[in-house]
Amino acid sequence: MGDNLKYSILQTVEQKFRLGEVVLVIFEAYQIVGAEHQNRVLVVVKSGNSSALFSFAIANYPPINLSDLHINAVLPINETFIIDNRPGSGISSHQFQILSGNETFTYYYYPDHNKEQFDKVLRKLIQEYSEENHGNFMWLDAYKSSDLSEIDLDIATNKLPPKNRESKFREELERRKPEYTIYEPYKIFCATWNVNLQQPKEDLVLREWLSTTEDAPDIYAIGLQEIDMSAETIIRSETRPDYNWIAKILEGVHPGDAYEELISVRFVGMMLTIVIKQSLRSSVSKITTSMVGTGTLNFGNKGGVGVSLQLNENFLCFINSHLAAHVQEFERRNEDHDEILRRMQFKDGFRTRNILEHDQIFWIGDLNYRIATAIDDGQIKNFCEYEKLFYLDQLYIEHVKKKRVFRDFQEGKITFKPTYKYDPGTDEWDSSEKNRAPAWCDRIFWKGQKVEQLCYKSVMQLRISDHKPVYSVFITYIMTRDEKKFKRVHEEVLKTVDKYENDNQPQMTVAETDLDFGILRYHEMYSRELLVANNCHLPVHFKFLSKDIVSSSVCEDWIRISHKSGELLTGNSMSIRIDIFIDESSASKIMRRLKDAQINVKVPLDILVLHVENGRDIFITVFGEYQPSIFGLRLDTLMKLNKSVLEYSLKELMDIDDDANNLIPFYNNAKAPREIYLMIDYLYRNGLNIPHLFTIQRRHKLSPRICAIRDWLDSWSVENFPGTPQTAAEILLKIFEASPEPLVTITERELQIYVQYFDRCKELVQNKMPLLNRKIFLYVIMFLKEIQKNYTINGMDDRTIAKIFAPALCRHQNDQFSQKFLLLFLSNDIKDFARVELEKN
Amino acid sequence: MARDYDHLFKLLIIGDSGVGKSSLLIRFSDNTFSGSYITTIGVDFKIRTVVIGGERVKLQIWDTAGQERFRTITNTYYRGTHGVIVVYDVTNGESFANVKRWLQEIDSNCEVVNKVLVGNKNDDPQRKVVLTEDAQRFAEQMGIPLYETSAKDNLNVEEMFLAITEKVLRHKKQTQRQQNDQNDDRIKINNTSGIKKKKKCC
Repeated sequence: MGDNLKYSILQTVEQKFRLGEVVLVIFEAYQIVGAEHQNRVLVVVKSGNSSALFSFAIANYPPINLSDLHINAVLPINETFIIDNRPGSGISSHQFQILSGNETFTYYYYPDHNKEQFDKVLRKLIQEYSEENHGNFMWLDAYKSSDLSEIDLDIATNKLPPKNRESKFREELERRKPEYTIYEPYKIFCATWNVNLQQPKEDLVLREWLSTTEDAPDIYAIGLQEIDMSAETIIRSETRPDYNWIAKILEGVHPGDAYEELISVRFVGMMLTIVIKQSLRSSVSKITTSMVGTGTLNFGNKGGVGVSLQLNENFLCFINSHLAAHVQEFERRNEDHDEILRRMQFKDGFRTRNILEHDQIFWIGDLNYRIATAIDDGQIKNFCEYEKLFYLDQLYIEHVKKKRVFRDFQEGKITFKPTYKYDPGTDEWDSSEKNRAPAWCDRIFWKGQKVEQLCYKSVMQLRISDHKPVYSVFITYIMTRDEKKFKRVHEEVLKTVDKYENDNQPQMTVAETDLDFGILRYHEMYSRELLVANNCHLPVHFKFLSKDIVSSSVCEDWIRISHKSGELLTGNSMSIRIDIFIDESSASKIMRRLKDAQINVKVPLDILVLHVENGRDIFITVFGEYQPSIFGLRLDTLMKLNKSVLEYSLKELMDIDDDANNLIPFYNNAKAPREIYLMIDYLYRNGLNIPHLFTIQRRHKLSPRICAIRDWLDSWSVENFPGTPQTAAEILLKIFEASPEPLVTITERELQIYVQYFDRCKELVQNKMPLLNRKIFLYVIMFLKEIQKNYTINGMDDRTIAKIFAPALCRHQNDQFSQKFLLLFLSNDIKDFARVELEKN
Repeated sequence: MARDYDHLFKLLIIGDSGVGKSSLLIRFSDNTFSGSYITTIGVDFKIRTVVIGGERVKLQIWDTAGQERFRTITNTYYRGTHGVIVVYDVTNGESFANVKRWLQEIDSNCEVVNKVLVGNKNDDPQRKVVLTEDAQRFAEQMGIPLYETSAKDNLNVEEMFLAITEKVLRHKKQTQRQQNDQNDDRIKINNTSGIKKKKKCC
């Protein structure tokens, strides 16, 4: 890597970080994702006394803009952080692994990159951390959430639908929680006592146990064990709280404030009572209880009871448990612990929460772990240096050494004498027959952020039981929403999701929005390619829209679009072909559309609306000019032309076309337009004996000779006719089809009524058809009769002819009557009728 | 929190080509301005949510192509619009003269709709040709509020969008109230005639 390049990457990378966060080293490597090699910039950043490794994905290399870099991993350099680049052990010499938390990340070295400095810096930081063993990683929170503009490959490749705005909104509010969250201190008093079946007598005063702090605690969690272990209590699985004890507790709490019992939960001998300041009642919600029996047959002689509650924005959990007894039974105790952890569920409506799904957890009780020692019990009793015995405590071994139980829970340092077992009424060790060894049975554990233990003590002077009570006071910082700050963040989040929505609008680019087709001519195919591309990070669905509510067509009928809708994945492009073909049905329409066009001014032929689903619409304008041809002109217009159609402007032609009432000049006494005459004349001479001169399938419809004949006709050419009898026949039909109005101006309805009667049909021809049309009609019929005469040679009978000509001449929706109408004229003698009509002026 | 907004309105920006419709939109949605002129060839939209009187109003603002040849197509975008922003350029008298035509477009394409008249590019007194007084007189005649803005200098843009939004919001509430009143009346009549009918949902 060149120094200059490295420097410019460093500059971009540094912009990603905030003041006080120092980039120590950057290192380029790659990861293999699927079959792809993906570049990574690894950046080691230090802030205060903690540091972290950032892994960036690179959208554009070299990264110049902030948006070119996307965080793909943030790994705090703490006790779980390990860099492993020792070859062997399954790692090759060109790769290295980073282990953080429970995750493993595999990177590959670029062969020419010097890895030593990177390696050195990381190892130094790991060592520093292990020496000091602390560090505040709060600054990483800002980077852990997904970058809003980050490209989600699953979304881009259509594997996942894009996130909707609402979930983004909730996600953002949650992510920014720290900004509108303040932490308020609450004092929590946890206490546990195995009362050894004693009832609270009147003279029992609990103040010495529960009111030992200077300030009044906010919340008390008081756990008792063995309040009653009689056989019926066990069999009945007694769950009614013991109000004698609760009353005693309420007497014993700190006198400095007004308290109330929030809730109590009892299971046989175990009872957990939560007492809170009355002033706090409204801050507490979602109070639920749970109990788990772990004794034989899950009876409640052993097990746990728990309370779950929400205090402002935090969920708190209190558990009081009584685990299996006897020195050798520590494994049973471990199992009891496991079972409570597994089975204790707090149900609040549809939501079930287990113990570990709380922000702060306080687990107290007679956990019954003993001192595992080879020295005999008598010696323990006489031992004064209890802190040395503590290392033999089974719970210390199971918790701290083996990490078998209370994983991630903490316990304060024990500075009190074992709380078990005393001769009741005294501070003397058990002198009974059983001669139990002393043990720290009664314990208090906690788990959660922002919890500080203020003290952890036992109370010697309460002597009714063979256990001494234990208590601990905590300060916990409870998450609370600051309404004013929340309002501000809320508004900002709205802005963010607006931006998210705007940025996530599917976008499509088109190479050009003007498609110029140049000069268009009748019966020729023109094509243009519209190149469209998806340059956004979402898949794009597109379709052409119809422009008005009434019609459903997306374009004029002479335009064909190869893909009226489609899908484009990120980075893909495609070409949409737009074809224009002006045929008989569109020739007159396009001339009318363009009649006001000035020469050399591009006129929009059509505007296509390309719609991107959930995004913008793009207008594609199709431009073109039209070279007029005789096809599409009125038949009387054709009669009026006194020079080649090419010598007229489109406007002139349309003016003649519009001026249909104007009579045909007297000098023109032809029976039919020149073009019709030429075709029929040619066919008289060359086509009468040709089999399949006209076909129902119109076999010569798209013959390449059509354009040659078009040019021959349009230019009034004196050359020989460039077509064949078959193409001349096709042209004859096309002239009739292209004219804006049908030759036969009798309606379908009129034919339906009169088509049975030849005389009435003749009258219709006389009365309903203009003279010119009448003349042309009879001229054509006379010609067709000639063809029909040669039926034995050319195979064209009157029915076939009627079938082919009826649609072209009459253009009725249903050809049933027009065919019959033509048949009448083809099969009857019309000589006299025709002579009279053709001579009319 | 079920939804992230309380109201959703569609606004449409119309006016001659080059008066700054897209610039106004981008100023309002992204708070940016680009000096380079890119003709809108099609219809674009942006989202912005504003808070008015504690209520979150999500705006979907449509920016249309102003060119003459697109006029018939852009008509179809008037459907379902709650408010229309008619823009002219204070340095271009013709664009102001065309406002009448644009107002006619609105009348022939929407029923009742809230409108606002906007004279954009109001940042260079030297080049200003459409006087405030003239525009104001015209706006009063038509009964439409006038805002002179500059997307470039970010003058009055926010105010203008908020004003039309408030107008639309007020209109919506008024209509709802009227409907409720009507429903109440209907119920009263029904009650007196002793026929029990289920209240209709609107």
